[in-house]
Amino acid sequence: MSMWSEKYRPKNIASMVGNEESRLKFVIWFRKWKPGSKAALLVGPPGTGKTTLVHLAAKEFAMNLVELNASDTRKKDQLVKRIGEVASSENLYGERSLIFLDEVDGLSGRKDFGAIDFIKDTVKSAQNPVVMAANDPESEQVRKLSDVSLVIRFRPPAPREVELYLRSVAEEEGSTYTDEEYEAVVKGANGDLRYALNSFQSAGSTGYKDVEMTTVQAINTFFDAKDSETSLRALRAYPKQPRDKLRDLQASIIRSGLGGDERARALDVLSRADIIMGKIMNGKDWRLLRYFDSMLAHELKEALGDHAVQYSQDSAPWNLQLRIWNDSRKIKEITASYSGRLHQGRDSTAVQDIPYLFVLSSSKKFRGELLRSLNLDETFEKFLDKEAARVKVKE
Amino acid sequence: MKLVLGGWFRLPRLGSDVFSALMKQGVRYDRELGFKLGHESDVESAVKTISGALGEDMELSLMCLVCSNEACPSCPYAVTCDRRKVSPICLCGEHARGPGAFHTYVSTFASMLAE
Ligand SMILES: Nc1ncnc2c1ncn2[C@@H]1O[C@H](COP(=O)(O)OP(=O)(O)OP(=O)(O)O)[C@@H](O)[C@H]1O
Ligand SMILES: [Mg+2]
Ligand SMILES: [Zn+2]
Repeated sequence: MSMWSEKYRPKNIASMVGNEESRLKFVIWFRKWKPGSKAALLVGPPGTGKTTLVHLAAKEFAMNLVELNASDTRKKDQLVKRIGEVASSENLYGERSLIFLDEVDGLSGRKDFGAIDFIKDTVKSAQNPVVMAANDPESEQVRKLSDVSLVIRFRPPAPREVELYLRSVAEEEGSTYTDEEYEAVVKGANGDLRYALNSFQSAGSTGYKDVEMTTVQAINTFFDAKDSETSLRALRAYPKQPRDKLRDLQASIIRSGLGGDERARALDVLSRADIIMGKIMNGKDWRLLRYFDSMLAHELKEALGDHAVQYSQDSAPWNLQLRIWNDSRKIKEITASYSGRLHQGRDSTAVQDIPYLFVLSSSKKFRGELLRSLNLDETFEKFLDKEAARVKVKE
Repeated sequence: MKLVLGGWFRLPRLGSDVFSALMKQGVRYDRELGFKLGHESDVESAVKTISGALGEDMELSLMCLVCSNEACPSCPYAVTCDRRKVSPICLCGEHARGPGAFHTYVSTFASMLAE
């Protein structure tokens, strides 16, 4: 079953929703582009249609699309080189190419700032239009690239427009929903259409009676499930609080011996789910919980693929991981310096090492070393003392 | 003061500091038409600047793409929608729901694209 965010991508630029002026501005830029013109830089939050717009433009204007996702580090060096070649070559096979550097704020670290300068040079001498996309308007990368770019801002589409799009999808599916159901999905999505479409999809796939399960049953059924219906049912049947559910899933995943990639992806899903959970709790909009389970089931199963996970109840140090989500500024700062030290992305492996750091910090000597090497001040020492005291290493 | 995003509005003379702040915040200015807040504007900051200068709260409304009427009255999302942060064009009650609404929206935008 394909996800609705894939199945119901807009078919042309006109049938996207939201950001009307920005879409218009982009098309005008595109039509007027000639060698020496600026690049276009689309900046805005996830799921607002930046990538979609570029793909559709290439299609509608019958241009060859050469694409580089900047956060795909493995192929980056080769691709950057290739972009340089394509950008400077005139009318490859008699047709112009549209060059797309997606997620440029994914370029990070000192090494990549070289890449930014390279991109700037490429843009200046390009014989083909270059378009870039990024999420964060405040990022260093966006600031640097805006010298050579027409910056086009994307914002979350207004709720009524998100609803309009969902209604057009429902019509194509031949399904009906109540106004309240639309409103719940739209509010939960906060202008993210990818999220809106996928939670809308999951919301429809129900129609069974929830059964009681024990914690172990629910979690194991979830991981074992071969179809999304069963996995969703298991999550719904989980007997404790939603936050406990996230914690149990997380503990099981961490204990499972999954490979680094799958594990990171699965933990990503959970941390996103945790943020959404926070929103639900704050807004006291309990109806959204229904969509929450669907979303979680869908995304987590996808992240895990065929990898086996079993319920595992956890004690320290793993449950420290939970608090990393909970926005402890100290932990974030430590993580930032630590990833900087290791030249790793802040959201990748470094984060998973942090609990180990705490465990090791119970040794005074290690703690001293750590504080010194990460350039952290004494206030962190107290903090680490406390963290270390909480941790009981399991023999 | 009520302000419709995407529409022109006038302001009393507010001094050059306020004016240049508004320009920095991406507010459009035209001698004849006045000021306009749109997708290039940092609406959140500009609204702060204006309400600070006028000493009164601002009420924001979005404009309907199809008929240019105010979109927000009668909207079920009026309470939760943060109009300083969303994309500034929307749909009014008449054009937001109902058979043909999506088609009307798409063809209205398509005709703008074709111009
Ligand atoms: N404006 C839109 N109108 C209709 N559907 C949209 C729109 N934007 C996004 N979608 C849906 O969401 C999916 C993801 O959108 P897309 O990849 O274009 O987002 P993005 O802005 O590039 O996000 P990210 O910053 O995460 O890369 C699309 O496949 C489509 O189904
Ligand atoms: Mg994208
Ligand atoms: Zn209208």
